[in-house]
Amino acid sequence: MSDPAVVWLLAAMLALVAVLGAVALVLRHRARQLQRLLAVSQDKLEQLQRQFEHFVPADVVEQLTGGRGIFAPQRRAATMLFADLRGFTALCDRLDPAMAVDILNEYFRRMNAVITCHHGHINELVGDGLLALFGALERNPWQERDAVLAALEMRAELARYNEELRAKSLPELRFGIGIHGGEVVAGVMGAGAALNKFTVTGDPINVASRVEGLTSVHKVDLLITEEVRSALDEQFRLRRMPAIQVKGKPEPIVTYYVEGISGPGSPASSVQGALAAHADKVT
Amino acid sequence: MKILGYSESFLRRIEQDATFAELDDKERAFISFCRSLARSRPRPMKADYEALVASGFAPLVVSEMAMLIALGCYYNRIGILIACPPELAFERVANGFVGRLMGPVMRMVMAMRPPAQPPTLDAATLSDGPFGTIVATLAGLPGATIFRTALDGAFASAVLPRSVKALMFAVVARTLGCRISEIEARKLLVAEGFSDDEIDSALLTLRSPRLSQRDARLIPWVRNTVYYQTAMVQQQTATLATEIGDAAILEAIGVAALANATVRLAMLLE
Repeated sequence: MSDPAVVWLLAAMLALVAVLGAVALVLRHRARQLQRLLAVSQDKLEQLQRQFEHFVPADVVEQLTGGRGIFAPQRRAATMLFADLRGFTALCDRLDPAMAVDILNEYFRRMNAVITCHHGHINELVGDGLLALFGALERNPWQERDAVLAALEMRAELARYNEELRAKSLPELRFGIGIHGGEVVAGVMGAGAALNKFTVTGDPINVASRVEGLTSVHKVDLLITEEVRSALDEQFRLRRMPAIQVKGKPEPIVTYYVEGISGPGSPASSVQGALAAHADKVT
Repeated sequence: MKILGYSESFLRRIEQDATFAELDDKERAFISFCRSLARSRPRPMKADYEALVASGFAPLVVSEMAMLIALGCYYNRIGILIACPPELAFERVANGFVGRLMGPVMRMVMAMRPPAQPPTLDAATLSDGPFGTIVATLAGLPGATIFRTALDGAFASAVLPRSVKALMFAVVARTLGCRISEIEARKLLVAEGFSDDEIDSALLTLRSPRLSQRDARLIPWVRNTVYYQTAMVQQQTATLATEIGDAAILEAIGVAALANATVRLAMLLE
């Protein structure tokens, strides 16, 4: 043991073990860091995919995330709901800009919760208007019914919101809603990678927009077309409005004012629950 | 698995293992099939089943996979709709000192007394009862007996009428676009005295004059159990529970879960 060579050898071995131990510790630390990074990345990706599915059909998401390239445009039967606030632009001129934006954002939040609760999704927000689609993201045999129930609940929700605005001495909101259904082309459209988005196009979109415009002419808040009416039953109280010629259509359009619904069909409580769920931002 | 108390980290490890495991094309196709069936967005078809068989899996193996996924859909809905909290304490015990100490003993005891396997029924026996055509495709699997028993038990219970339960199955079938399941549900509704027109009308409007006020609420609700956002469907179910009572909501949740499982199996037949 007193041989210096043996002592040196032992010391060298100890040093080697110490170095190897240190390297192992560093590697272990790095491996754990990488595992954590991987876990966080996976969580983020999963969350992103879930959120993405609120705006784009799940089969499109599957195709894109599965590395199977661009989603080929398809024809889909969908129901379109256009809602536009009446006189909000004039209101903006009178209100503090921040207040106007707050009022508008809260309006959109409430309408989004109602639309989501009735199996629709908001596809576009243009100024104070919105376009909601039913049956575009996933197969929905009850899309017309869902759209009309959503519109009725939007009417009720707007009344509730107006009560709150009135209590704060703020101006009340009014809207017009037009609903129409038909076959549209769905796909990823846009002017370039940054501006591309999943959306739908086709004549039914234009008709729905025109029908929304007719709510001002007929001085009502909610109109549907014959195509939507034919999918509803007697539970819905409808009033036929005079046919009116609209831009881009050779024949006058017959519309129906939706007065309301008889019996159970759209429990307001479930929408209230959905509003609460949205407020919690839990999905 | 969360409800059973498995930790987030454990579940994450399983997902990572599936992602990074060195799997061949056949095994990847297997995992992809299971995922596709569970999500059903878009819904899988008979062609997906046949593609797996063509890749070398025995038909009975693919059927067992499909049955396990269908049962997964069942348990998911039971857990989510009841909104029961995860059994974290249970998992802590299993991973703690007592669990480690008792684990080997419990494994030995369980190995000595394995749970009894349910009898394997033939196709003719399995097809005798609600949704028999679908359950019969599981012939040869012990699990088929569990499926048969569950369906028979659901339709034998008197808490909700058979007609509303059959209509709930029909609504789930239509939501997923499964013609075979809808035909099976229609057979049950006809046996309950519904005419074809009444069934068509009920499926078009999600209501029927034949249903009581309480039962009518279940028809629009059950479609929300197919594709859902967890918080929203839990809120809707909680609201429904206050309206129809504990016994009815428990049976409704069971029926909705079973309908989702059964229709997912049937989708592979068309």
